[in-house]
Amino acid sequence: MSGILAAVAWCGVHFVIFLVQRGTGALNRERAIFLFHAIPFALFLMLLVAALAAGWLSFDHAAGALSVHGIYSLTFLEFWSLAQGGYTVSLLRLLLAGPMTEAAVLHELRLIGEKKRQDRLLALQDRNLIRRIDDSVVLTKRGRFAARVVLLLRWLANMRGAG
Amino acid sequence: MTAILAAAVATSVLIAAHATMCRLSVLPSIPAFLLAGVIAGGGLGFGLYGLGASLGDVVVAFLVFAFASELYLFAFTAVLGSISANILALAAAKPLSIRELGEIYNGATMAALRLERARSAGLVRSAAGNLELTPRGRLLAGVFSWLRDLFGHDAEP
Repeated sequence: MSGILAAVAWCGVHFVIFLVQRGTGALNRERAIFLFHAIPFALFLMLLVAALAAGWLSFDHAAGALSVHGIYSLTFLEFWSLAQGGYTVSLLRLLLAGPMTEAAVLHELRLIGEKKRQDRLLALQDRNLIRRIDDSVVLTKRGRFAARVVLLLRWLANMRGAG
Repeated sequence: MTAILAAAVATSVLIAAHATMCRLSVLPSIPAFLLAGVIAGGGLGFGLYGLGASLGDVVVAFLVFAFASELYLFAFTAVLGSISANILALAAAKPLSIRELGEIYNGATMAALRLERARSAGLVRSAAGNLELTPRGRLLAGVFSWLRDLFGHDAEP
């Protein structure tokens, strides 16, 4: 169980570092917060491989320890992303300040939606998943692979239509 | 390896049960996932008990199963509501023009749809010609504000 306890301690230290860093705004971007989790995850994996090679840990317990880190990071990222602000969060935050007319709320939500669409297109382009050719969006090689993963997940969950 | 194999089997059962329930339209996809998780997790527990697994093996099996399940949940909920995922899926079929994209993600339609969803979920209501939060909406807004503070979303870089 020592590997699992080490994973809990590692995640605890990581969370404390996050609490110290969060006021700086350095981790406010999706890429920054993703790397803030991905890099320690990769480091922890390397430590586990070293511990396995040295015979300090069984394969099962190494997998359990890695799972602790995975559960922590995924849960953190899900809540981080939820709080970052979709339509519902934005709507609730707008109305928390006080009542507004429906037209004003719809106007604000429309601006948020248009910004989101632009941001997503730019992010897909930055990650080399799509290319803009004239007035069209086409997938890159990497984008075609990502699209296949998306289509597989949609098929599994029997999803249809726009998100 | 028994614990990892058992967790792998339970995860496969979870994904297959979820896919089946989604096709039978028994439940919406998230409750279907939760039910499939309970079935697969229960099966994992009984299976390990039947094999006489040690406490350490049981803990490892449930940790691996929980991680794999959360990874699947994370992936399919991202695909369910993500604009990026939808753009990739649409562009996989044929090149997509910016005009088509604008029609699919029409700002006014999306805004009206989300407002209607919030209203039917009992988060907002109309009062004296204005929109305001219901007590439930206010509670949820408070939770989101707390989460935003916790994650420092409003901190300036």
